[in-house]
Amino acid sequence: MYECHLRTAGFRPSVVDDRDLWSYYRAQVYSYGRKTIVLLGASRIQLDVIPHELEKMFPCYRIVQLAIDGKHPLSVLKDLSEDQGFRGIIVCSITALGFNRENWDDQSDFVEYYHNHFTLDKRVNRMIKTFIQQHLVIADPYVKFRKVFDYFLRRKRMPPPRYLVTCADRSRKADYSIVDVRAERAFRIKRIREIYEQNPAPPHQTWVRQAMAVEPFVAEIQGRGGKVVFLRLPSTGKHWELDQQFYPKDRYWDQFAAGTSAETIHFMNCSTLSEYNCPEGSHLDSKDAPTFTRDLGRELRKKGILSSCGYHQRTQYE
Amino acid sequence: MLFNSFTFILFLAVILALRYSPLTWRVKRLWLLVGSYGFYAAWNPPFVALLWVSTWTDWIVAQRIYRARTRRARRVFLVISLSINLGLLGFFKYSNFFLESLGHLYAFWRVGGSLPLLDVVLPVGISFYTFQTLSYTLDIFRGRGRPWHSFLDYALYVAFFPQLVAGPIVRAFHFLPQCLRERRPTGDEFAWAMSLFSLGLFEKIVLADGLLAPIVETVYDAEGPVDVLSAWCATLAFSSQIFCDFSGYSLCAIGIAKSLGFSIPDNFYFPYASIGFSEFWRRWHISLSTWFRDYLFIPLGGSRRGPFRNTLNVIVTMLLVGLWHGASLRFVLWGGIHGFLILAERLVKRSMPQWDVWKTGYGKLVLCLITFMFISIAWSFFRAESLDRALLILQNMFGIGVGFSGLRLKSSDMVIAIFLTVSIFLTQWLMRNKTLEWLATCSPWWARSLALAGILILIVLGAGEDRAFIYFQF
Repeated sequence: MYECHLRTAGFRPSVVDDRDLWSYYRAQVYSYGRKTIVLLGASRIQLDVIPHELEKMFPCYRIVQLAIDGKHPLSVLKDLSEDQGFRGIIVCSITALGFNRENWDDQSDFVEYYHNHFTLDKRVNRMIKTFIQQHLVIADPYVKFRKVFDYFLRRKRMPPPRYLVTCADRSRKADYSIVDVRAERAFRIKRIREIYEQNPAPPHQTWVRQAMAVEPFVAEIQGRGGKVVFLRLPSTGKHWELDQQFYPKDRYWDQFAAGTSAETIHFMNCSTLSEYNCPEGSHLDSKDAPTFTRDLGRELRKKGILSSCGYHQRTQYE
Repeated sequence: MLFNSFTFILFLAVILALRYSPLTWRVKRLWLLVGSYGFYAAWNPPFVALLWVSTWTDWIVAQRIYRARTRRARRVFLVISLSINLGLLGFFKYSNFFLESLGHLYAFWRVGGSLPLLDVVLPVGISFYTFQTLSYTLDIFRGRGRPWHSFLDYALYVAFFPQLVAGPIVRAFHFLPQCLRERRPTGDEFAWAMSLFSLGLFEKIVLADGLLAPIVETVYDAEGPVDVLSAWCATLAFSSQIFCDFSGYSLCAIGIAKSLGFSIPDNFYFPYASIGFSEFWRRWHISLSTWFRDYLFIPLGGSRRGPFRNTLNVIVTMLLVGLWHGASLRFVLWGGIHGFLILAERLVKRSMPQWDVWKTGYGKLVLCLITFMFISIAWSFFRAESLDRALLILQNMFGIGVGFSGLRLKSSDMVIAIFLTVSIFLTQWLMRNKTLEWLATCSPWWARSLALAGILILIVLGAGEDRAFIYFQF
């Protein structure tokens, strides 16, 4: 009954994205050898890129989503570079902030957990949990009695459906039609401004030097036959203005792109990727994510990072 | 593998299928043993070797003790067993504690810098299975039993998965005779076993993890002072949390063992309904307190060697009970406080006039409440991450330094903490001299069914974040 009530109220099942789920996918980076595409980054790549869409475009590749919400990705890149068994392709969504030395270890707790604590029983437990959570709304902690009770005490009504749900493949879908986008945007802008002001950008030469310190990781992966792409996903409006104000693209990203041996894709350099609008300035709506993913797939193919797997697929998506 | 995980439910289903299959009893016991090692290996496979060392050591030593002709030889073998078992326990659990303490001493005497700590992982459940195997050897040393004839049974006794990682600490001669012949639970017994398992999960998942743990963590894991009410609410919430967590685990263990046709002893008997601290230790973690009573307190002379020796024995025993719980000064202090409370209680009993008011129901309730409050205050040392944090929260509880400023819990958290603590306390008070079996027998079938259905629904809808059982760390 509770399940039916929640579904009619607009709730959708959502998987809990925890260290076990991340570790479950981390263990899968070997399965397709060089045809494994690992997505690294934070929330942007989880919301903007849909693994399933990329797999439809490139059916001979296996996509593994290893982004972690709210954390910069370089410790996972380092970990994969040190993992001799990994030979695949890394698509690393990163911003200028992510290259700052103090942010390198952001995701290291997940890496440490995978290597030291992710046991067989946790893996099996996570598989069963994922199956249940992707099919039942009542398996979502958001609708557990305690949370509902707390919300009810605060607002004197039941909680509304969440605008953000997590899929079993760790991608996330944002439905901005059910949130106050203006308030959300103001919140994001305030937050990013605080982050930039509290962590002033280093001079661009220093920053480029720090960013180039990822080269050994890139070289290690490419030396084994893998590939690395650094990707800057869209931010729009005031958010992008702030990004530009603190880390101007021409002095930061472009300098790094010119020096690295990895491929780079900046959304502003691609006419198709720069056309999208992020409702709250930083992430795409789930309605735009599939087309964005396909546009990104085309960019990756254009750069020679991914190759089409067959005539049928090519004709379908071109 | 946690009882509150889907992996365990799957594992239990396989074990139960094998248990109720037409295989012979010997093959079933063998599978139970293999399953138990698998259960332990799921956490960290190499540490199964430690379990084997402990099992083999006491299996061989116990036989040697029994066959030895002189008392001296028997003692030598006992020392071997104690050295190996307590040596392993000491190395894995206490080495860094001793190194740290030595470092502090060096610093105090200005001898040199701090000592380097070892990178040691604490094997889960080592304190529990070490005490189990030791009890077997000690019982044979004291002539309370003969070495068991079947190594398979003995290995199963040590590794039996329901009680392997967090007790109850089962005595060998309670468990081993149950291996002699197969005892298949009846339908009613199986249903009761599953009800106990469900009740244990409810205590753990809904009450301890879902409702109480977040409140406790907000206060105890924070930094800085806490306001008076919040400090009290969090401390009372921890009293309820640790009971629900550990008693929940024990109920699960007892239920699972029953479903497999084994009986393991009760570990809790409504401890917060105790009148006095001696009674508390007869009701809380019974298998541990009786272990210390039988193998340490009584051999030290118990209360037979005069008041001074008795005082010393109580303090030594309780300090070691504290140390058993964890390699930290906080636990030692917690044990010491309980030792002091037990002695103070005896003194009060002797010196206070025997007023009739204390024999009435209300009088007993007041005494019980006083006991509970002291026990709750002592839990602060058990829960806080450091001695400084424990002392700060204690100060805050009595309004020293902060009053009504400092970190404040949400009012809904305070309501939940107080409501659950009062409910748990009153339930235990009402059940003080009764048992769960009695309650089930007295209740009509529909009430039992409704209660069970409610428990299952709450387990599904009331779960909080997954947390390991608190006693796993010991």
